[in-house]
Amino acid sequence: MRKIFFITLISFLSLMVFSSELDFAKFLFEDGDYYRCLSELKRELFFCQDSQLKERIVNLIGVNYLFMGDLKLAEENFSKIKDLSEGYERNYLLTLFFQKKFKELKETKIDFEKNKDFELLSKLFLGEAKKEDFLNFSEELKEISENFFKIKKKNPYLALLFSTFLPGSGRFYSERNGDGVFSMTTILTPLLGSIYYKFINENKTFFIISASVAAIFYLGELYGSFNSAKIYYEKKVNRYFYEIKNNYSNTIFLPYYSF
Amino acid sequence: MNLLMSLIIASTLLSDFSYEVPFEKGDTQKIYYDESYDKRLTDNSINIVLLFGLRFYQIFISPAQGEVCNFSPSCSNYMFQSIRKYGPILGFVKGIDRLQRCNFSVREYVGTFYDSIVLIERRGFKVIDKP
Repeated sequence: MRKIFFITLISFLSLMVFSSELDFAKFLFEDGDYYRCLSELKRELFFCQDSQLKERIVNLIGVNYLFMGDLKLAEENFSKIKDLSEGYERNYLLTLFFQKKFKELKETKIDFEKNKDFELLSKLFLGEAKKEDFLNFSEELKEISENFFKIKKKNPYLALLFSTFLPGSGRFYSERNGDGVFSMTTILTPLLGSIYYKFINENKTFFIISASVAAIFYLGELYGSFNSAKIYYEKKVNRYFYEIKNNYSNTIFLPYYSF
Repeated sequence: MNLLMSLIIASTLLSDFSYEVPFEKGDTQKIYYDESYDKRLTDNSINIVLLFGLRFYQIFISPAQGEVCNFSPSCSNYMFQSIRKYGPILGFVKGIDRLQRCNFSVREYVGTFYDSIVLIERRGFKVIDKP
């Protein structure tokens, strides 16, 4: 009976000793419990002696921060890694890209031979890339670039011209149909009122009030149509950035990690 | 005497204390009040007239219609802040533009033209649009 007890005790202890240090952290990570995984990884880092394992743990800490959405801390951890042979540099570039630090990404000293796609993506969002640059790359990158080039800039002066002649049309031009309809109503209603009080029911006070209301809203419409066309491209690109970030999170934007 | 009374009312309405109007107390004003606004702009007489009108609307007229604005800060606060920030002409025009944007289609543009929405206690969801 004693023998059996000691054999089971020894086998249990050996399992505890020889199992991988990061098994529990892996379990927490796969469970989506990034907070506890982080504390487990930091505990491992404190007791770790092996330099290679240390780098792996720091990378994993960065990945945890990345999944938690704390990009600054993720970048801080990825930048600590000195060994760039295992694709850790990809994670660093990824955090720079997610923070929209495109210029910084372009100017990094990291060799872009393996990570040419990030260089191209940063160029794309800086407006320096061409359609031809993406020909030799993966289908996903081609898709991203094709959809990006579909976003067209709107000319604010053209929007202003549209709104000058037909109030609301400048906002239609900037794809703000609801705003266009509403601003058209806010201008045309007092305008028609002023015509009514001028020519049909002659009332000077009501004419002045309705005409001045129409004039004020007309000024707002001119400014609004100009401004909406001006910010159109920037807003659309911004939206597209978040779309690709979500849509390709499991493919090209998947960080490198191993437990 | 009347002139004195009106001056006292005007000075209280345009003072910094007036940033906390009763129906805005607590939420948006504290979050979105930007202290970097150039306060010297209130020395401008046109500004004083416009801001006084806005405060008058906020205190005596707006409570009657309730909390209906789609945005945070509300349109009147947006105009108030933009007049202080950009001056009477551009600030006023920006405020009018905001009135035209405050319509039935606001929530369609969240994610594209407006970045985010916020849940404000007892007032529901509002689209964030700072001046």
